[in-house]
Amino acid sequence: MAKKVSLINMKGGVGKSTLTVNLAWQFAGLRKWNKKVLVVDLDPQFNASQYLIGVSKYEEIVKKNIPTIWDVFEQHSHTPGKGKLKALAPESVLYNVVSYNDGSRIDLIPSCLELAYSMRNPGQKEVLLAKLISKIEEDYDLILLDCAPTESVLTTAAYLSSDYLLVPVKPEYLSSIGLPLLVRSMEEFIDGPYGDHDLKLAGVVFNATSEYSPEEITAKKEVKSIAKQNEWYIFKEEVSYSRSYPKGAREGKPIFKTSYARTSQASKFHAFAVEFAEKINL
Amino acid sequence: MKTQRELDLLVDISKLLKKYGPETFESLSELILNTEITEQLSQILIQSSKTARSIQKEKRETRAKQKISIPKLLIDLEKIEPEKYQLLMNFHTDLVEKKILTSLRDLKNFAMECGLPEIHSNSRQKALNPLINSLVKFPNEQLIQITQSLDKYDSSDRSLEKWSNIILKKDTS
Repeated sequence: MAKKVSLINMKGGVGKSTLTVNLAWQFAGLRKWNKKVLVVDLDPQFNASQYLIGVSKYEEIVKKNIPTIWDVFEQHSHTPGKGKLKALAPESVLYNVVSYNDGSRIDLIPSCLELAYSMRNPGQKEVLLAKLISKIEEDYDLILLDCAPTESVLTTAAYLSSDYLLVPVKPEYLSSIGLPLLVRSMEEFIDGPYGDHDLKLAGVVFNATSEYSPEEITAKKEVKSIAKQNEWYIFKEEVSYSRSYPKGAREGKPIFKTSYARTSQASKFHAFAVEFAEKINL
Repeated sequence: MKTQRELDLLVDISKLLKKYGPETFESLSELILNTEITEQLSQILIQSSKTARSIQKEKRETRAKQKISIPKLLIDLEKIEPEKYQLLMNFHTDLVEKKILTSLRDLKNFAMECGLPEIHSNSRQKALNPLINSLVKFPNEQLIQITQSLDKYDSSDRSLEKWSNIILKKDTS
């Protein structure tokens, strides 16, 4: 049974997609783990899809009408002139990014801009992703869901599809405000119709940290205080800022393969991946 | 006396005259005056000089290759496990010839990806043998997988222009 983890924060630009993709590569690509990983891109901005497969392969998805996460949410919708759509075959929405000879691999459920329309017409769609994942999760060790930074039907869908939440926080003022917004979102979920769903918080990870900046120290202190109030775990290992992350996205490579990436940056990310794996019993 | 060049030749001839004596010089003078023979002689000298340079280059390359020794563990494998020996020998040759893992950083990353012991060497050349030694322990099937999984990352076009075309729904065909 796969461990299902949503990377979520109600603030954009905290590095959710970069973390998602790099974690996927760590667990599938390193022989230490050799995991089968599924990345679910739940953000209409589709950054995780862009990072993982690049423009040529994404173009193929568009041209060949390969189903995306939009089709998962809209599989039962009526389309004028086309009648009711057929239920989506789970395997049709899985796009293989990389397969290793030992069986480990990364698959992707790609996203698209049209996903924003699903957010506007939420009607009962929040359960559809969890249903689809329940049919395929036996084939994976880890399922990572890269969430959009706004409260919507997609957030509920992510909660219902996950065992854990991983919250990346950039230690700066506006970014840390995303945290109380997330607390509110989780409380509303627990008080709502799906309150019996077992959802744990794996922890908060400080992302894109630098060193000795007074603003960063203040922000970390505030985040730690909120975490303490809510009994949230804060990962000891931090992911420090590195120009190699955006470079990796441009090159389609993980941090440990990015040209010119300092070994220390790659090692820091690896250390976080180890702590994260322990935390979710991967 | 006409030119400096002719003067130089005369000086050289005088030296040779001193070295070999006027009799030897006289007995050869007829031969030297035959233009066909001097031309042939000149060609032979040019060719032998080229050959000498190429031999020297070959010797330098051989010396460089000899500096990169084959690990003993690998040599020992030849008789015990010939298939594994061949696999690792090919891998070792590709490494030595810098066809794969061209930097020390690439080697260290590769070791990390394969779950091998960390490489502490501070030069690529020094890191080769420890890497091969750790690979010797792997079964053949796994070695095939490892050597085939060297480049698994997508390096296709990622330009902003192409993404814009997709996002703005322009025809990209």
